[in-house]
Amino acid sequence: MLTRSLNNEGARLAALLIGLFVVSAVALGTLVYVNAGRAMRAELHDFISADQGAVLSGYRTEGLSEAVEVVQQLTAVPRVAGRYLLQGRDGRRLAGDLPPMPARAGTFVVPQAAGHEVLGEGDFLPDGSYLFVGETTDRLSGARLRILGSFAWVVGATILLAALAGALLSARYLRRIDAIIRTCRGVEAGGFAERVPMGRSNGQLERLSMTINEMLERTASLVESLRQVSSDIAHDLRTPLTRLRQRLERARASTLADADAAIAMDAALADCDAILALFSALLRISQIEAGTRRASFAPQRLDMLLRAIVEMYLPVAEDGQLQLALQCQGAAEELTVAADHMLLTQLFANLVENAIRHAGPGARVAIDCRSLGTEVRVQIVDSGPGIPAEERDKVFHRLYRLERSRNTPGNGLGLALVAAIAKLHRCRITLGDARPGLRVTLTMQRLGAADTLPTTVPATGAATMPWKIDAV
Amino acid sequence: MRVLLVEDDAQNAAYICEGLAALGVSVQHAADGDRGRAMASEGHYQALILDRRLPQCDGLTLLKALRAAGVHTPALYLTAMDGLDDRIEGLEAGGDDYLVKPFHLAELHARLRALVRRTGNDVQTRLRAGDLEFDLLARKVTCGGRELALLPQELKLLEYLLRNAGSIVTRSMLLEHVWQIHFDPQTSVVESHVSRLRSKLGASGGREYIRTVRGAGYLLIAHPLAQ
Repeated sequence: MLTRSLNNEGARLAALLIGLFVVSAVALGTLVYVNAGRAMRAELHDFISADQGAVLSGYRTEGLSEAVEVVQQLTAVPRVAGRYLLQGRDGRRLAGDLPPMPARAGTFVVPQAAGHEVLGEGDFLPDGSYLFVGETTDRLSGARLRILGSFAWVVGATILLAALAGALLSARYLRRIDAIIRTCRGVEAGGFAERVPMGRSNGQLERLSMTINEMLERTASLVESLRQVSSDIAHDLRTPLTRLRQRLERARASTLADADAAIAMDAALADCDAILALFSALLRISQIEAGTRRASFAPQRLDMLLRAIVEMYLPVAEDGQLQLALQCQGAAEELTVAADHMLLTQLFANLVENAIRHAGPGARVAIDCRSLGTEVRVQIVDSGPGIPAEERDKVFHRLYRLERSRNTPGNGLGLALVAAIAKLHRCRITLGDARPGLRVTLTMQRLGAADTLPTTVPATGAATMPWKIDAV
Repeated sequence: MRVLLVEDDAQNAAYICEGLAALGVSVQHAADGDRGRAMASEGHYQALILDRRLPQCDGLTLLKALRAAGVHTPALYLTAMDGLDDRIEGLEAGGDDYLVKPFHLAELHARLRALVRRTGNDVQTRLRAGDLEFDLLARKVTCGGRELALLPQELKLLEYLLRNAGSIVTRSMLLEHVWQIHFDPQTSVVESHVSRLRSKLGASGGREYIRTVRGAGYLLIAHPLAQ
């Protein structure tokens, strides 16, 4: 789609160039054609006037017989068409190579045999005889034809050149724009290391590329420092917290006799653990969001992974008086995806834990895994209270908690972690209403279906939004 | 237990040395990689604790050099990197376990004990604790001569507890070794499985085999008859 629209853009640019060139060539051609025609007509008139002058001066000095003689001299040279006529008052031809014709004063065209035309001027002599001097328009029309022919060539060559120039220019420019688009898409997909390739010229595109690169540099350094700061904070706070916990533990060991103090210290220890777990989870999310783990993706069978999770959580579900069921449909290779085993395990573990924790005793948690075309779909459906439609996209935010679950255990990072892992795996995740309960739907590209390991930048528009939360 | 700690951060080293000493472990400390290598090659330690990042020679290089020189002392990495990928890298370089800073000393202690124990135990085909017996080849558990019906995960859990009988194993050690999970689930996965196993063991003999150690983990009592 991208390439095609770019080609259209290029074709448009080339067509515009061609149109511009053709219009200017036609304008120039018309100007030359008209002016050349005018100049040549003027020249023809000069020739005619000269011949007319010669005949008239002969007439004036020595009378009609001299005029006849001059015309005879002028017609001595044979030509393709007649040019002269001197006829008496009775309409009889006295001299010339044109047949007699009705006498008429002024400039007009006399058609001749074989398509020739003679343009000339007729005039009455004082004695009533009639003189017509003309010139064939052959040279004029020939010249016109040659001019038109030349312009046809010029216009043809112009179209060709314009098309070529358009193609070259658009290829050059659009390649650059294409590169910019690809870079931006790559960045959007998480690769802050990508930069627009720079050319040698100093044009607008170069400056655009440079600006984009500078912007990316700045954004990357901001994101990096943000990431650095948050992991530094989390890490630097974790170390003293661990020591605090250690001290509490030792103190706890030596205050066994004092029950109240022991209870207080146990509570303090639990708080320490909760804070440490929160920091670990935050660090983990930012680490996953950094996107470096795609390199370690390997083929994973979702059915096996889910089976292990169900086996792991079955006793937890039974202790909580819930039912936990798994159903898989599809051949092994249809349920294989490119993924990080540990992260995908954590993703499903978090979702199953959430379902168990929020659905409550007596509820049922059903996991369904099936292949749908080139995708694998996993649904985790519980019969608990569900999530209100307006809150469904918010629950993926860090530290967001539903009002009614403020007092249940958990740190509000479970689903944020799920979202980060899903995004890393280009896995679509949607929350829906199971009436009653929550339906979590995950869709992943099957391994080998389209592109195998998602390490390359997607080329299609749809794939640039690999991960999206839909509130259904 | 004699342990060598290679750690450049003095404060952290002091914390570990003091903490482990309080738990009865004798710790010697090397502040850089070169010194650590020399000490590990000469001294007879039961385990090594290596910081992943060291001046001069990092933990990975140090351990590779030691392994190449024929030193097979079990080694545990400490890392500040919240190692997702580092874990695999570290284990491939010859490490035996891996702990992300910051950690609880109880966790470090439990893991060290498991490491030291693991080295001597490899050829066993039967594990025993009191009248509890685990046939590793047949994957069968008997309690007082009666065979117990245990699920595969319960067998794995019991095997790990038996291999570390008499020492505390932490929740994260169980998650790693029984379920291959390197993150902390929010719900009580370990607790549920342990309580299930406990009830199956209890139903057959009525004795307490698995004890919960508050704030630390679980302990399989090595000689329940002597209690």
